[in-house]
Amino acid sequence: MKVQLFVPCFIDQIYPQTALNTIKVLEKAGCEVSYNPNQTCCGQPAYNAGYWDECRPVARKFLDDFNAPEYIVAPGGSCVGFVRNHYDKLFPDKNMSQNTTQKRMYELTEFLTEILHIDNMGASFPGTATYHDACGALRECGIKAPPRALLTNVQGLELIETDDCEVCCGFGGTFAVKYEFISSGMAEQKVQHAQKKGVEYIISTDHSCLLHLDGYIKKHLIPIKTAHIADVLASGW
Amino acid sequence: MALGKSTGAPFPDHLQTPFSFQNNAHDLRALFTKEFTALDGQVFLCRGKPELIENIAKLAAEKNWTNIICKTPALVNDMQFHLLPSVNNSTDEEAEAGITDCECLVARTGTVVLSAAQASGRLLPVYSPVHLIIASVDDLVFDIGDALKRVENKYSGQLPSAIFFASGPSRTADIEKRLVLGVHGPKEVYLFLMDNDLKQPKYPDTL
Amino acid sequence: MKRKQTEFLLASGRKVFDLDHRKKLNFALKQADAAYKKGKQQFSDLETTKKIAKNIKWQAIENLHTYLEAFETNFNRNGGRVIWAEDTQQALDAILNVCRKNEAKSIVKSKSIVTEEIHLNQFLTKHHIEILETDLGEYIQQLDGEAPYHIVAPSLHKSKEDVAQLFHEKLNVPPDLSPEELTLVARNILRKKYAAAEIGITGINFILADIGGIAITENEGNAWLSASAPKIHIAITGIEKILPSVHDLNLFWPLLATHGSGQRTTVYNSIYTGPKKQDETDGPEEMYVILLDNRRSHLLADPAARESLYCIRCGACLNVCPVYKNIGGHTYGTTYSGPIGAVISPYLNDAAEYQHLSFASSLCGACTEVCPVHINLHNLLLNNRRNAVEQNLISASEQIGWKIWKKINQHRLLMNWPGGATKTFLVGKLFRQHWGIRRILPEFTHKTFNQFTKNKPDSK
Repeated sequence: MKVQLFVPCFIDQIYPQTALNTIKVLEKAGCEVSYNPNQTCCGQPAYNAGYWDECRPVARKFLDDFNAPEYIVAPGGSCVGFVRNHYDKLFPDKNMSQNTTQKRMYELTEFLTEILHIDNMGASFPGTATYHDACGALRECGIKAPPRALLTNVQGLELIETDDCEVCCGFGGTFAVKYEFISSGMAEQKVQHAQKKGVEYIISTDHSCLLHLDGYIKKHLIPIKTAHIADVLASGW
Repeated sequence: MALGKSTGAPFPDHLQTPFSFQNNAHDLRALFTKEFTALDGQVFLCRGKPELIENIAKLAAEKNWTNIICKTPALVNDMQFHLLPSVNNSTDEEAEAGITDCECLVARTGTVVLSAAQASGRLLPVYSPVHLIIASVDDLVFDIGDALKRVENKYSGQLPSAIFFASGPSRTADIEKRLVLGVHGPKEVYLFLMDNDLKQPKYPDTL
Repeated sequence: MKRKQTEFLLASGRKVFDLDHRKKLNFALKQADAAYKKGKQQFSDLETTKKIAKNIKWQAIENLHTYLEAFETNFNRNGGRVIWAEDTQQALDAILNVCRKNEAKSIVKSKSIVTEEIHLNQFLTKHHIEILETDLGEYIQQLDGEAPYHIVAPSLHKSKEDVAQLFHEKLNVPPDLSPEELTLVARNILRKKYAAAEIGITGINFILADIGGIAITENEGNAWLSASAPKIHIAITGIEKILPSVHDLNLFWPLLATHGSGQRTTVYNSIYTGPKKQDETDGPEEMYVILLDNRRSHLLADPAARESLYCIRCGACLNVCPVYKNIGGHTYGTTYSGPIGAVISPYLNDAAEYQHLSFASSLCGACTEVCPVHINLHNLLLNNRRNAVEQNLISASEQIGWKIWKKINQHRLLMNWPGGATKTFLVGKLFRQHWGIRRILPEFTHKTFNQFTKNKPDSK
């Protein structure tokens, strides 16, 4: 199956390895991955900040860059949720129902489990971890089971759930800089919950959350590491 | 207050959809008893009037109640006829308990429906430290909607000035989420359910 | 930055890292969450039920005028009187008029957030009329001289020791009473007040158009007593509380109970259709319903924000909101706190003063997920943010920032430029101060993923 890779900004700029691992995973799953080098961003940051006019040309570029008929797969639920649920509002005059981009776009783990019906990547990743439900993946895309199904089948990985797995990490884009106290407080409680469970890793579908949690963890020298699910699934083979 | 522009129905597919609660088909008597008890109320099943009078008399003796108010004429007559002198129709604010009848009972939520049109009025059921309710198995309906229809039918368009749906004793959790009973309304609620045929389950009327 | 925004930012910092506050709030909200999870099991299909409820509120609000007029006609026929109040002052004047006409010296009041909105207690106290809160949580807050902390649980942030200490100081009772004993103290004080008060004031949970009645939900019995013991009953609410029919309560009462307090049904759900009827035993001689607009028509006029009027004030969005969980109710500086408060406050007040609340959210969507009438709360926050930008309420430097962002993201080559170290330096320069002392900023890699790939972007 041919798929187009969309690389979220954080991964493109800060964690390129995760994009490489996404390709590795998709290829093992039998996909032929193409990457349009002109791609930039889905437009979400400006939209969330209230700048719809600034967002529109970027979102329009996204639609142009991904106008091929293949599935679009992204290692991140936030961008996928945004394209799926908010492009209609962004382009009320454009007949979005004619445009299949929204329906073709998938987050990596939901693409693997729901489209390719694969829940075991043959990965091994020794350690204990908790899974953090990224808000974009969970509430905008409804992704709850896919990452868990895939992680359960990772050899050597013990998955421990926390009570607050669905609670936001506190990032929220501009929120993290506009309201640093609330944002940091949310990260603090999230990390403390994971610490109480004694896990070595916090795994998630979205690097935006992980980047935020990692910022708190590193500042306080806490013995927990963050790991993107694509990196976990690409391990050990 | 003009609407600028109308908006479409949020969920056009569900404009005619009925909603439903768990436990639709259930023996109403058993369901009511279960729910009412779960809310810290107590049910006394009574086969006929003599047993009712006996139960009330014994409970009054046990609790040492000397002043029980009842404003429902038929009930007062019954009680006094059976030498329950503590039952009277005064307006004594210091009374220990109040007896009323009810409009109906909602099984699904363990609710006693009362109204201002009853002789007991608005205040007696809520002001009494203990509320005793005398009801019959024929008062049972399934849910709040059924109760509303029954009250509407009974008063045919002339609704009482107040209708109360009371589910168990008064409660609060305002201090550290700790449950405390009897904050402003009654602390204890007893329901005497008259039923001559205890073996027969009571299913909801099929419409 | 506007004054209120600065106040909010600083107050949020104090609350978030006040660990005692965090502990109390987490404890209370954890219990609320457990109760909610149990309570919601009463619905065989909660998701569909919420959709049905939203449809009903949509119908009610789209035809608000018609339903309110129907209510007035029917309520008049029942012997009640409707008072329309366009703003706070009209509502206050109306209440004062009724007080003066009846030479009222004392009033008992049950829980009503609208009376907080119009600052009724302060107003009546200024006019030498005693007004006493009768809901236990509100009574505690009134004793302490504090506004409610939560629209459903007013004293949520106080421990039992806090309340015991407060009662000791204000009511001269021993300092170590248990919650049971404290409740009894309040009960005994307030019992005497119901009989003595000339007027009872209550809020309203639902206005029932078809029967010309109102519905009130409570657990304690104080609203029932306030509406029944004094010779005059005044009920006050915002115009949005309308329901087309009394029969909608079969759905809305359980929905409110489950989302407000995790119960299947609250202890007392009452319908009041007017003053005492001739052949009834007792009840008030007069009943007034005050319908307050107070800029709700601004929400109504904006199709994008209108659904915020579907709110039934259950408080569930506060309970699940990670922002509320961290900063609590008072920090917002508004009558309505939490997600719904952030949505409606810029409309009910000066938008410039309250727009910042719409940005104080990570947009996690937990509020939208829990809302019993399916209000798209986090989308309404996004809508407010757009309004703030369009109305030019955002700083010039931020506006320039987004113009640059747009430029960069339209050209792939700009995204690869000028190298990781420079980007890390620039982002640090821009954001380090706002990132705070509790986190480190991430570092950009030397090359973007794009630069690792074989295909090169078009050089346009």
